[in-house]
Amino acid sequence: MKAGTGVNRAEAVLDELEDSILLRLGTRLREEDWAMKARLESFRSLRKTSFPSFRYASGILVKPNFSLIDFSQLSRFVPETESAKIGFIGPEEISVIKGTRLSQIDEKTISLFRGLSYSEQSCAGQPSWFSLFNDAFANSFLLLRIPAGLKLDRPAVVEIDADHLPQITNIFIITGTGSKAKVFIKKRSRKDAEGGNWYFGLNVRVFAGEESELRIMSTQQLGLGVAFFEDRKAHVSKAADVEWFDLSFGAGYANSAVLSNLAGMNARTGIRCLFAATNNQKIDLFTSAIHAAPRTRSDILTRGVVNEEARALSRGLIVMQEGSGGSEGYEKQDTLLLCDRSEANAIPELEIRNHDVKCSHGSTVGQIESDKLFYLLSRGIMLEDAKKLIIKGYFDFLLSELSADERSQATVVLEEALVEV
Amino acid sequence: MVFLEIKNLHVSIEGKEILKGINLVLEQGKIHAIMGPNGSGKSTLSNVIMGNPKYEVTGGDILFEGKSILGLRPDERARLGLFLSFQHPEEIDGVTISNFLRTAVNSFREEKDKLSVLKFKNAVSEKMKLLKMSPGFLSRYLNKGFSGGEKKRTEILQLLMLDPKVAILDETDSGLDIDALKVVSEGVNHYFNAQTKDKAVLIITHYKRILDYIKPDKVSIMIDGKIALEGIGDLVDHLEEKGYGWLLGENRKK
Ligand SMILES: Nc1ncnc2c1ncn2[C@@H]1O[C@H](COP(=O)(O)OP(=O)(O)OP(=O)(O)O)[C@@H](O)[C@H]1O
Ligand SMILES: [Mg+2]
Repeated sequence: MKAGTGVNRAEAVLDELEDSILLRLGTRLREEDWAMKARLESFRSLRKTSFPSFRYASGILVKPNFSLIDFSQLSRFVPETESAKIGFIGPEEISVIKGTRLSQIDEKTISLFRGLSYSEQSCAGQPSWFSLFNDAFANSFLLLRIPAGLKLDRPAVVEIDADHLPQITNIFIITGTGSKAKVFIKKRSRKDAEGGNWYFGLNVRVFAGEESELRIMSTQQLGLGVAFFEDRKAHVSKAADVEWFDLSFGAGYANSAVLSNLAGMNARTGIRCLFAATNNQKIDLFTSAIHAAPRTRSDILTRGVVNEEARALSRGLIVMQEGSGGSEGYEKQDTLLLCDRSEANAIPELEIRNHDVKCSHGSTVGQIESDKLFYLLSRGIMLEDAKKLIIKGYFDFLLSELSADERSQATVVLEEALVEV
Repeated sequence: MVFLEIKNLHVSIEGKEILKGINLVLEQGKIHAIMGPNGSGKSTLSNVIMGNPKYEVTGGDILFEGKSILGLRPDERARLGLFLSFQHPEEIDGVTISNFLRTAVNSFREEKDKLSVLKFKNAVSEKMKLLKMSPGFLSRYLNKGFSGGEKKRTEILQLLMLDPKVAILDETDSGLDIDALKVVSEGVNHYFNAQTKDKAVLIITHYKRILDYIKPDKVSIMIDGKIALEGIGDLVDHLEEKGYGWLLGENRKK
């Protein structure tokens, strides 16, 4: 792959992108007209959206190395075969559509998602450059539909092995009225993800029907050669509850956004993001809840550890819209630095347009306390193991919210990640 | 055999000299008590022996079994056989005693001899019985929310599990009620095992009470960063009666 000057080069390449590239892709994929139109729509919005600067009101810059991502090779984004890039194992009651073409999912369903606004009034809900890119150029799709009234204990497991990159996946989840389900999304790739700096894009869109409960647990163990761009949004209807629980440990660069739009009265969301970064890993995390209806509740907690030369930025935003009377929102972002060379920042923000709400936020960026470390070392524990104990301890508080089953799976993922830290 | 030898040790913290030439010898099979007024440098000494990087050694040496340990990290010193029961044990959030102790015990063992969760549980529950600790403690976070006495008991649990050559007990008796003092002292005596005489104890205290259970062979009085006086058991009785005043006066005269 050719060297270039980062963002400028990526922009230059994208300037050259004509509709014709997308049309060729559509033809190869045998997309139906409506699907092609949908892709083109995203693509045109993309071209109107300015390329992200990755500069927030933060002292640190967390930016991917675009010079190594080859956007000019878009033809490679089209899979050669319809081979499954996504694995699904789950309760039979869940209806599943899986494939490489948007047309495999029906137009009506897709227009439901396109019609959803994840927030009209806040910039947080606006599609980002990368989410539009992921929509326009997606090469793998999954739709899960949980029938109304169905209550499932066994989780649906979605596995994405992003070994044949570039991988661009769109996942759609619809939960019927009064249903209850768990979806476990596992994102993995080979450690070395050969060639380096592959693009992996993932959009997850959720429509949570009234009084439904959905819990999405997700693990990210991508190789360091992967640049990962993830955009997740949930529309949470009346009295529905959507919980996101993330464990993110991989990828050389991870840009991950999660947003719950509390659209119906008494809707609720919980967002939990645990991350660990080391070496030169970079993490840009955005967590948000939009309170668009009365008596809605949000609870956001992110917790990460940063080691070596890694950098992490955690941005949080709670929006209380005019119609959010009686709502409660809470966000907290904590980061622990394990090394003098590590950098991290947390920016919790609130946007309040209704004063009959309760809202609080906080953030901490702390260093490992030398007296605590000394205490562990004085018991013969080696520095690396002592750090691991402290990291596990730092996460324990969030892991303790999981069921025994989820927790043991999370622990396995965490242990694997800690081998690297 | 001499386990620990401290030679003319000078220590500073943030540019202020705290220890001003300490000499001390601790032999295998012996119990050595250190007493002294608040702020005289007892905890500084114990931390420096254990290798707390906060303190700067500006002169002298610390030998363990004849070799200087000043260049060693705290974990290396621990693995040589040094143990410090802290005056103020740290609280480590999110780390259960069980997980912590198993990691500690296994750091002393070769890969092939590492204790499994089950073997560890068996070993630890035996020691906990000895210290009259309820098994529930194992799943609690290390020292988090523990009462003063519970923290000290947990320190002694660690002592028993790690079974070092030398135990430094920094005010392990403070904050213990009468019954707890007895249990903890019995724990220390169990570790010390007067018959085999293969361990050594350096015990720092303000009170005679614990020395009635754990009988010192020697008592050193530390004042203002120096050993002002050394003696045997009856020195403690003398101090109980008169306080440090007479010594302080004498020290000033010198
Ligand atoms: N971080 C520090 N900065 C400045 N002075 C310190 C620091 N730590 C300890 N000291 C000082 O060193 C001196 C010795 O303290 P040390 O804790 O060793 O005393 P001690 O003999 O253990 O007292 P006590 O009987 O109260 O436990 C005290 O005057 C104390 O204030
Ligand atoms: Mg002290």
